[in-house]
Amino acid sequence: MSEDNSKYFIKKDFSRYSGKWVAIHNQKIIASNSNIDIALSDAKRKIGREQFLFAKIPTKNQVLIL
Amino acid sequence: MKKLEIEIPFKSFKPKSFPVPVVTPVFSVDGQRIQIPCIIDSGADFCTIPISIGRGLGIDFTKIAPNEIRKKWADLDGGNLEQTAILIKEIIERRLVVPTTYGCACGQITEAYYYPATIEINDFKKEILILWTPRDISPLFGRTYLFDSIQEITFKKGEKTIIKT
Repeated sequence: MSEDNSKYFIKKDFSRYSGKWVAIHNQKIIASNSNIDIALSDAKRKIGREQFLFAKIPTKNQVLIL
Repeated sequence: MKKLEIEIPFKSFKPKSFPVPVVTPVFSVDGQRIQIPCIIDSGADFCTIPISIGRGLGIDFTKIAPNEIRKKWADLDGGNLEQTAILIKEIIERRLVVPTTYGCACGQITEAYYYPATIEINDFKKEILILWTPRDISPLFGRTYLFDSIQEITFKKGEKTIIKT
């Protein structure tokens, strides 16, 4: 399951989720919000303790300086 | 340890954006598991993840380590790899929350916590120490107690990264 979600995450264009946290389960986006706590609690409310993928989508025009 | 070779793709989050190397490990604490894409950051001392995700994994950040450990951590010579490994092993085994401050590339100082979690990438699995930050950052895949399990990380012409353990 983690591999499928991984492939889905790598291939998908997340332009419309810019600046948001997204939760992915069974290759579907089950929650998204710019507030990490809301996105996380929405995802947990929907699938309980099941494993999901949780990712931060950079904002538009964001350049990462690490 | 089993030898593995893991290929890590570069990800563009939108058309025409700069692609970044992203690894998608599963992090777990006491059976609770979340898969968290992390940007590979060889300049980051530790894997660094927002504290909200740590709370989502069930970590109680109010159970702070005893003073003796906090003092050991504050006095630690990070350049002494043996001493660092011994202290990190103790923190992992005792499941301790260790408060700290850290500086990022932008120069800001942030109060944060260390706490262990298990990281899994394909067949690679290890308990490591994570830096849990209150900042709303993209999770980072850093070096300490992790890169020492990896023989080699190769970035190949901006197309993929290869991790050999």
